[in-house]
Amino acid sequence: MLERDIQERFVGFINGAVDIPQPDTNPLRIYKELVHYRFDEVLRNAMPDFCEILGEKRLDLLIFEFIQSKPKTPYIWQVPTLFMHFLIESSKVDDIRYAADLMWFESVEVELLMGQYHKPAQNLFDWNSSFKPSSSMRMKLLNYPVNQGCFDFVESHPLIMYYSFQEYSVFYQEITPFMFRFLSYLEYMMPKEALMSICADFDINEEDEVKELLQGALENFSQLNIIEKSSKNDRLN
Amino acid sequence: MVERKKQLENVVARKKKCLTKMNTLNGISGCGIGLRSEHILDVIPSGFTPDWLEITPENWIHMPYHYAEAFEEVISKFPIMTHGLSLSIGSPEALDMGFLKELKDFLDKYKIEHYSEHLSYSSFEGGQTYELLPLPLTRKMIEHISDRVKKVEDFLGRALILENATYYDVPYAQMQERDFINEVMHKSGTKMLLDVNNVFVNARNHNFDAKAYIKDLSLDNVAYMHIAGHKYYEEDDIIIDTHGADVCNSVWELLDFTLNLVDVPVMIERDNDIPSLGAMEEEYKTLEKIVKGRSKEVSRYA
Repeated sequence: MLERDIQERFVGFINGAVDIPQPDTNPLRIYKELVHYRFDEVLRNAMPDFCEILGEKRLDLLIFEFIQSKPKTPYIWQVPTLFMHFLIESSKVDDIRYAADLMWFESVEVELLMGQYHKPAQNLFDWNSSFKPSSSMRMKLLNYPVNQGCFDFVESHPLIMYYSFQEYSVFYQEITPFMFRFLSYLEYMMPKEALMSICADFDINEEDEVKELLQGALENFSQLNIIEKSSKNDRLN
Repeated sequence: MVERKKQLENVVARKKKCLTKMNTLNGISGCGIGLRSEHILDVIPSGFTPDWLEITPENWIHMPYHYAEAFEEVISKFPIMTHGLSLSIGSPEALDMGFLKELKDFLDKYKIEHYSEHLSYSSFEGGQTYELLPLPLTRKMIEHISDRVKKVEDFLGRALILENATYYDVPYAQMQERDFINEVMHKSGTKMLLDVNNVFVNARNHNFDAKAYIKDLSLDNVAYMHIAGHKYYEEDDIIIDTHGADVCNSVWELLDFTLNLVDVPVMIERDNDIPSLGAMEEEYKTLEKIVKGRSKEVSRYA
């Protein structure tokens, strides 16, 4: 089909796959710049620190490579997350050791802001009910404390990010590796089972003491909807 | 006396025609503005009551939690037109049915009847550019678009309205753009969203007479109109349709000219450098003066 060939050729010019002949006077350059601007704007807004670290020239090149990879979402707000996956999967920024952590930290904010949530039920945490990490939170075991603006390697730096239904904004909270493991277990275990599992993992016999230690934080997490009450069937298998 | 009677009959006939047009866009009449997320929390408290609002569904299908309540209130109080960005009606590949499903769910959920898009394409082989790209102006493309319009309309259960886009390059043309548009409207049976600013921008960039162009369009097909701001770039001697500035006098004048030919609802688009809602209201008042001043003239004769 002639039309398809024309469109393919046109898109090839504007996504940077093919050089535009006589770019100074060629109107195709306008389209190339307009398309680039769309991506540049949304990426710089969502991931300002990462884009700054990349520098303008490298960011420009990566944007064009990303456009050539054909990002498929109709929703432009999802572009930063797709860009992050593209860069990681195609090893484009392996030289920046903390890139994955920083991109995650910055892009999750948009993802959580745009999440589709129901009004959270205010359930007090109790060990006998089923609780799991909510859809308004994300957690990750980082190797670089990027939230502190620090890019030095550390063994583990667990971080929670969550949407606050009180402040209508996204916040982060550093947690202990112990709590991180506990919350990970909550994805598919009841709280008491999760407690037993982490005690086993960390070779701790005093379950009651651990329970007491976790109680306050879990009550707080429940209030902030970082964890939410769920049915047992709701869990990951 | 006979002359006067004839004049009155003409006015009545014109009014009836207006009503017919209005009926084709149920609830949408008079003047509108684009609802931007920057203003969502301010619209109701401000007391600003445009006749109708236009929203971009891609920006509201997902929205921040704290916008939802205000959005639902606004949606329930104003007639709503939706104006999409990502349909890509001219793409060669299959329609994105996942997206269409989300769109339909959104339109159904909020009971929104009207949906418009652009006579262009924004994706190729699924890859989005988020920019409106110029179509090859060919007969085959007219057929291709007409087929896709029918598929979209069948799936959404709603008529699709298509907007004339700006273009800075013509990749291939077997015909003039206005003939292409007229033929698409005729063949697909869809209505047109006439963007007066886009005509102005294209006329300036490609050296043609905007008024003659508008006269040559099949104006009976126009369902509603857009106006917007643009920006001149001296280094390229080109106007870009930025939607990031106030509407300029030349575009107001072109709108006034167009309203003499076709009497349909009009709205102001603003997508970049969004001003305060108060500033939008001021610009809306200018639009109202032009559109409704005209109606007063008609009623004076009646």
